[in-house]
Amino acid sequence: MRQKIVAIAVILIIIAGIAGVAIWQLSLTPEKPTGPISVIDDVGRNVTITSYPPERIVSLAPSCTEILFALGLGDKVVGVDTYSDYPEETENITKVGSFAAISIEGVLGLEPDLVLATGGVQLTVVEALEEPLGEIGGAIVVLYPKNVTGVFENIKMVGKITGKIDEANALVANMESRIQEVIDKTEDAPRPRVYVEFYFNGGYRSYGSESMVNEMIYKAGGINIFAGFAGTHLSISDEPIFTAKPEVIIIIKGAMSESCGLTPDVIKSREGWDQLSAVENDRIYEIYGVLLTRPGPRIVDGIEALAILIHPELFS
Amino acid sequence: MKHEEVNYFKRFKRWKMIIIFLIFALAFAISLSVAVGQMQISLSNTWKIIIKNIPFLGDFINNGFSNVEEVIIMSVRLPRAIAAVIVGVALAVAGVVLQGLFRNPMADPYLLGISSGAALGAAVAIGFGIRISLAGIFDSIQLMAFAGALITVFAVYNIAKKGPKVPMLTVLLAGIAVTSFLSAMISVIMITLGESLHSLIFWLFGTLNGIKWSDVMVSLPLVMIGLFVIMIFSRQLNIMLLGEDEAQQLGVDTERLKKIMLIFATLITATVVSISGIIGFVGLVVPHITRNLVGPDHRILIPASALAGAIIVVLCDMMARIAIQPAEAPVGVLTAFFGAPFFLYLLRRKKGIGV
Repeated sequence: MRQKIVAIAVILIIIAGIAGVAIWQLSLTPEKPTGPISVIDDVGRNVTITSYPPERIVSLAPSCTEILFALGLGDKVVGVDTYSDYPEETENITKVGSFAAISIEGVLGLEPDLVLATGGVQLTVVEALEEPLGEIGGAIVVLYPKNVTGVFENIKMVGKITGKIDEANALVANMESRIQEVIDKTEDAPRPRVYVEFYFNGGYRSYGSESMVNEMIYKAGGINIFAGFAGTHLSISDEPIFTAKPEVIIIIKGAMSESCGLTPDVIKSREGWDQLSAVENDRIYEIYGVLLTRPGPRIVDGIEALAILIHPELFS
Repeated sequence: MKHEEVNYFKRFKRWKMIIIFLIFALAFAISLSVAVGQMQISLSNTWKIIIKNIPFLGDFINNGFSNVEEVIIMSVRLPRAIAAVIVGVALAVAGVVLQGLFRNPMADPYLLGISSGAALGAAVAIGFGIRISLAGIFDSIQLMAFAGALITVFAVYNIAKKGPKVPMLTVLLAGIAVTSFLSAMISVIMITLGESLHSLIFWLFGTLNGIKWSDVMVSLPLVMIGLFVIMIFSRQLNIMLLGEDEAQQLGVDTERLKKIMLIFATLITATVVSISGIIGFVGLVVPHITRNLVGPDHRILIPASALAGAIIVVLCDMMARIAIQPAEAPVGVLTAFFGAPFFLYLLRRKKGIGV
């Protein structure tokens, strides 16, 4: 009799234990929203994602692709633009065109639940896609950040609409702390004047105060010599550069710089540039453009790389 | 007298045959264009989808196709093919009218600065991020391009006007001068544009990518009205070929004719430029091709050119979609790519091109 009671008690305790663990586990998993989810994207469009979480995603810009992969959504990406080259896995994903030359039916044929696009150049594509896409139950969201904070918000927004909220928060926290580390290190040092060039043809092309590169240089402990010039992309001549006396010159390496053969040697050989302290002290560097011009997770790598170039003495 | 009548009927019969042939060719071009694309959709499914969307007839079709296929045919390819027809018709007809009016084989729809006026409007809309829309149909770029084109032609016309007369040579020269002035302004905007430059470049090449039914609905009635009016005056345009003085002696009010023709040629060109950007060579080459085919009589030249222009733009757009997959080529690149060599061939063959 006593044995029976003990046996029942043991069974009850085990059941209670399992139930308790189960309830504890359930309470730990955050409540995941289900069904349609709505967001307001970077160009003010109110978008409803009906198939949530999306299983088939198409990205129309490299920055969007990088965000998706950073959030662990790589296996759900079924189409990318031709410039999406990072991470390596993108190589085997169906390509749908680039910039404004996106094939509308190429995208539709992939039957995406979600399409991520960028603004500016691509808005015509967005306008053309949203209606037919809606008819097959898909949605298109525009990511068009103006600054580093905007990139963080983009990552969180993508997390929200794909059911990767925790991953997005963790990624942003990690990026923020890495940027803060750079700021802490360079804060007390004087800010070298930095001139950035990405192309030349007649005039030189650089970045103004409204560009993200301008902000990234500041976060990296330098100051863009054209921080006082409005606009994102500038077309300039020798004079404002001579007046600003850059101490560091950075070449944005990419398709643009390659097309015009922009190298440190070219800069050194320019008439009159030998009097600039950046040239005198041989402080002309090259940096991978994709780290600065793609508003995705790798802007942190860009800021760190800039900081090392601008303040080599602080990073050994 | 009897002999002439027989001749007239013979000619009329020949015209009828040509028009019927061109209509069939256009129907073939459209169905080819709708059936071909990046996504493989079978010909039978293509037809099923189209018939299914025709009221009453649709009830007899059983679905053997996917929703995506239907969306691609009905919302992407079909409006695009129809827009290509509208663009081809408008550019070719405007080309015929202007070549006839100016009695100049070099004339094309962009002669009076329509292209640069529209481009400036588009550049301003893109560059300064102007976002206006009219009843949600025309977007800001289209609206600004349309306005830019009309204002430019109005300015050119009034600059050239001397009292009650508008000498055609002065119009031509004023058009050239205004075009270069506007091009300079576009360059200034392009330099300051930065990255949105890309969208302007695409627009300048001309593309039908992203055409929607709303674009078709807006442009179709405008182009039809223009075409209708131009057809009414096609006989008077014939008399203009004799020269302005002769035409006046024959009782044609040449000033009024010029004004009406310029207004409606501008209207149809500006309409299609605003939905497709600047598609080159169609307005210049197509009139020469059809003139070779049917002769200089505007009563046949105008409808034949309209159909031939439509066929060429539909086919060029089809190639633009599949030429450089996965991307899309601007259709204007293709029309120039095929149009320019063909134009040179005509030039060599006839040792000169007349109007």
